[in-house]
Amino acid sequence: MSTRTVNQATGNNEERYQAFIKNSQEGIWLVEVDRPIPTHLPVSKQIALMYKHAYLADANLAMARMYGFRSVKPLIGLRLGDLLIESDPQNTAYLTAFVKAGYRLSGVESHEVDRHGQPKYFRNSLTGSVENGLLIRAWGTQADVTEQRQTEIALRQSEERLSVALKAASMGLWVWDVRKDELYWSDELKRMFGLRVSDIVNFKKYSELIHPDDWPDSQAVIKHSMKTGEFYSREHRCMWPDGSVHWLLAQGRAILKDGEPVRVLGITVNIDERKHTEELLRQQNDYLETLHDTALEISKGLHNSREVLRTILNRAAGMAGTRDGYIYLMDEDRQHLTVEIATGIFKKHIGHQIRKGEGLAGRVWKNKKPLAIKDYDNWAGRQASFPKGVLGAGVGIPLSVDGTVIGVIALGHHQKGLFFQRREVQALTRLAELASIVLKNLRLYQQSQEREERFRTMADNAPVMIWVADTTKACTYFNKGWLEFTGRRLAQEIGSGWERSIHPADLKQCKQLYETAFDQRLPFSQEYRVRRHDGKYQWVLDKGAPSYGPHGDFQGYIGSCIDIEDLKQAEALKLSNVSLRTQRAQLVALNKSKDEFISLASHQLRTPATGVKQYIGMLLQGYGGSLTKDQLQLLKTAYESNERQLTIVDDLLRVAHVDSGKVILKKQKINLVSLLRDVIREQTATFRQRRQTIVLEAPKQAVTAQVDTGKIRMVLENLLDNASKYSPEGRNVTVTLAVNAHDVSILIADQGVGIGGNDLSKLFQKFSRVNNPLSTLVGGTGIGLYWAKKIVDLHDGQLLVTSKLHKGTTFTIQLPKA
Amino acid sequence: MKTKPKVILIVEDEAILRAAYKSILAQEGYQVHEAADGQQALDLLPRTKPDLIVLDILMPKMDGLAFLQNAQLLKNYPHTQVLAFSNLSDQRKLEKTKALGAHKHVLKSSLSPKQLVDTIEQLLQ
Repeated sequence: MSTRTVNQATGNNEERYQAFIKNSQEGIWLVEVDRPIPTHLPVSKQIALMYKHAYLADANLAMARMYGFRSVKPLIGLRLGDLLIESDPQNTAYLTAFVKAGYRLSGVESHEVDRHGQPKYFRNSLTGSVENGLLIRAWGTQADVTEQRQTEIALRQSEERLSVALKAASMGLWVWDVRKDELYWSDELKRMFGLRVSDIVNFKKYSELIHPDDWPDSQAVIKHSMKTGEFYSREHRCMWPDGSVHWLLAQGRAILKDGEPVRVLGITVNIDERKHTEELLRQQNDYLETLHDTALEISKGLHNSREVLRTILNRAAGMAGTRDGYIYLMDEDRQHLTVEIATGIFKKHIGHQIRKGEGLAGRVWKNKKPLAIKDYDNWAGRQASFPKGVLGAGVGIPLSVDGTVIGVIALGHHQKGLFFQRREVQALTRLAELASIVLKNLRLYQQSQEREERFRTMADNAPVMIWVADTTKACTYFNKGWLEFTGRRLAQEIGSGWERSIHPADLKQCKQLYETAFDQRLPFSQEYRVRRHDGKYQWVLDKGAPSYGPHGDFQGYIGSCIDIEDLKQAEALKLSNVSLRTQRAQLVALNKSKDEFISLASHQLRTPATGVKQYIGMLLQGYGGSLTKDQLQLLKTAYESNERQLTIVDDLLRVAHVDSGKVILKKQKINLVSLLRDVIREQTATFRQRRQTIVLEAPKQAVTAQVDTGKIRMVLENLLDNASKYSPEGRNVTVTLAVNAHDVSILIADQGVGIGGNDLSKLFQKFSRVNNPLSTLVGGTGIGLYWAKKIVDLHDGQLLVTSKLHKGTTFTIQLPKA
Repeated sequence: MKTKPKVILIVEDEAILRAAYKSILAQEGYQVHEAADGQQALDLLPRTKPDLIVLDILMPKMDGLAFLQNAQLLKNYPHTQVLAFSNLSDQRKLEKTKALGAHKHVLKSSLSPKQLVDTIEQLLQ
């Protein structure tokens, strides 16, 4: 506060000064001290004494407001330490400067606080009053620059932050003051150009740092911006003093004033990493494209393994930017790798063999890992076949299937200094993986081709018809057997063409069965007719089954057909045989039931007839009292009639017995002569009744035979009875017993009606009756002879007959000798 | 038979025949008992102790073979004669009656009354 004015200006000026001070926008103050401060004391001591003894003696309102007061009053008497922050080094510096400048300062800033504790920045001008080496007072003015200062601080802070951000973002900043031609480079920018922070950069130096190829364009974009003020962004390379090249992204703009460039501002970012990544991506893309192309190319040439290998090798070499390479493949014996194919400097190595662990390829084989050699000449594993100076760098990549190495792709650079980079090795590994799969598939393909070939050869020579269908049910193959049978070409039969060879009546069922079995993957067997080349349909038996690959993958169906026409015919015969047999069985069964019926019927018929026989017999034999002769005669007729019925029943029963096979012979050795005598004696009475005679001609000595006496006796009785019945009264019957070499014969010859030729053949048939004048009279069931023959047959003998109509009949019983 | 009449047991399911045989044999002086089947015959055995049994084979309830099996005649009535008297011509069955103790088999329909009496007398001698 203008103490000077207060003290000096009295009178006229006094009021004007008071008004000036009062209305001044600047703070005006007067500081006095309790005790004067000696100026010879050290500065720090003086400053300490100032804080101790100085106080505000006077001030104007502007001053008070600067400290947050409405009036001057509370301000007066405040100690210096209440106003200045003693600990703030800036205040110390301010007071120091005041002392050092001879207690006179202008435009110096002080950092203070107002009554609210808010920081305040003041620009001070002050003058000290020194008398006799003692500072006794000071007065000055101060302007509040707090707002200005705070803006500056904020600006500085933001600049600092920007700087930090730029640094953190590895951004370089440069500002070119066009009019002054001053170029500012941030430290970071210098580092981006490979410079030291201390290096000075001017425009000339800058132009030299840009890659010469990029300089013209860099210049052009900046010039363009200087004309238009437009923002620019450009990537360019810079050359570091060490010779390395780096990629930078430069962005910036010119600031124009009245159409003239004033300044150009720019930021720069190092984009080496991005460029590298881009390059890698591009390369990877190239590699992938190569892989894809390789796969395509290879798949086209799958039938030719050399072509596949050549493609793989060319692609690999192209990928690695070389023309020199070769592919080793594993030998059959798995002892060597042999160069199968080679290009460039390796061409002459085709056929070269290497063992496990030897050289580059041998090591790759052993370790199952890629191996890149940068300096082949000085490599410990160098092969003698490559003298120094031939191969610069080499790389080997294993080809492996299911973890087993099957070969090695090797590439070389014969130029010194070139070598295979990691990413190239990686890409080649990928290619090798692809190639491995391809080679495996190729091998499988070749094997399947061979199998197919073998199968076809076999199938064509097989004596059956073979067909093969794919997974869509379509037939893909018919063997020679089928084609020769149908007389059609393969092209006509494949797909569903074969359907035309099937009999139309069988086709629907045939297809249905095939498709049903197919859908369920079940084997099937069916018969149908196939049209033979001559148009004739033949029955075939078709057996089909699903076929599976080595890994259980369903591949379709395979079937074989055999011509079963003959079998079918045989079957038909067999069928008719079967039916015959069945019929026979049925007949046998029928016969049996008939026999049973006869047996039962006979038994049932016998009982009432037996009753009749008993009761009439009782009357005839006196158990019913005496009867007249006529009555007896009548009863006798009834009795005989009943007897005849019983005979018929007996006959029927006997036949049923013999037919059912139930007859068991009770053979014993007997003398046939005595048997014959016996039978004849019993029959004599009957013969006599018809005035017939019966003569036996037999040897004197015994003639023995093994016979069932009862049965043979009945046969003889039957034959004698017939001889009598079918002979007119008065005729003779001769019974002859003859002994032959192997058998004995009993001949019973009559002189009766005889039997005609036709009837003779029917004579031994069941129920056969021969019509002759006597047959109706005699009656009979027609089963006597049938039974007799059966009995003789059971004795392993024969019952024969010879006859001459009207002359007589001779029956011969032939029996084996005992 | 003059002194003590022989006892005959007629086993026959056919009443007409049974009556005829009874009449015939009673007139011949035999003491005749009748049974309509094997079971009745078996029941009568202990009381009648027959000298001879005229035995039909095919009968309801218990047939002749079963009767022979149950009666054990050879053991229990060793002196009783058995005349198997049937219209059956099944040889195997007839063989069996012999094995079970029948002394003779005659076809019913083949014998007149007189012949039946002759046959029985022969067996009882």
